[in-house]
Amino acid sequence: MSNADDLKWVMQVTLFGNKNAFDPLVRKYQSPIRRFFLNLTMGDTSLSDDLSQETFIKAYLQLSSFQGLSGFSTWLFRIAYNVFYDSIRAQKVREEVSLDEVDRHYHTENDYSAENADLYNALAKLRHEERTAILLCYMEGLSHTQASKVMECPLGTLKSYVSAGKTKLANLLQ
Amino acid sequence: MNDRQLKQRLKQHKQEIPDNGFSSKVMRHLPDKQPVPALVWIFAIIGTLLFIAISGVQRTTDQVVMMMEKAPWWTLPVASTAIVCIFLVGFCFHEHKTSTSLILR
Repeated sequence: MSNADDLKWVMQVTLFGNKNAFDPLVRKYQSPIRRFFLNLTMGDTSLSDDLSQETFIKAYLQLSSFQGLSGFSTWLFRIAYNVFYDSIRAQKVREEVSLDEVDRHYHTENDYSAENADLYNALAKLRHEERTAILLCYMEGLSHTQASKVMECPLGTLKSYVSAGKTKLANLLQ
Repeated sequence: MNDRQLKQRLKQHKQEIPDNGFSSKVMRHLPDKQPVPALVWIFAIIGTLLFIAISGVQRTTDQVVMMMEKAPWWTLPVASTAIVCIFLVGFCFHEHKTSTSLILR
């Protein structure tokens, strides 16, 4: 399904109120969005599914604000990024802990984390901006420009996050 | 570990997450109705006002009457049948394409 197909489904939902037209979009993007959250939460499948669901519901409600200037996937990752960091901020407010402590809190044991424990351990040691930048660019295949739109930061800043993250990750995984 | 090895490592870690009913769950939790955006209403109102302003009803009626007077008797049934056929073909093509893309997924 191409970007043109994405736009077609988006228009069906926004202009004709066809709720079912959102289904192909969920099916197409459920894997990248859930994988993104799975990596951000260090393999917590339950939490990543909850956050993914919240992302798709928010996307559905805000669909009329999608202008098609960037791709639908970039727009969706932007919502996912906000959902994740909103949840972290809420957690932080509730528990008055640092982001690093939240990361450790999310570091749970399950099928995914057992398989990829060393990578999750390494990712957990990165700053959250570095981790997000690395995951968007290297795991989800977004360009630096797209990732900078998702993270709402200048391109140069994004590149510095990627560079710092890569260096740290390479050392940690040796 | 160099840049290439790191990319390779992350690529190996990348996995497709099976749907396992996730999409259906999301669809069940969507709010019932997507409100029609204000822009659609604005354009609809502008269009209606313009139609009224240029005496759209009178012009359309005049055109239809003029066409009916000039055209041979069989024009209306042939034209309406052709329009219905075009709509039917378009609808069938759209449905076929939609069901194919759903099956392929």
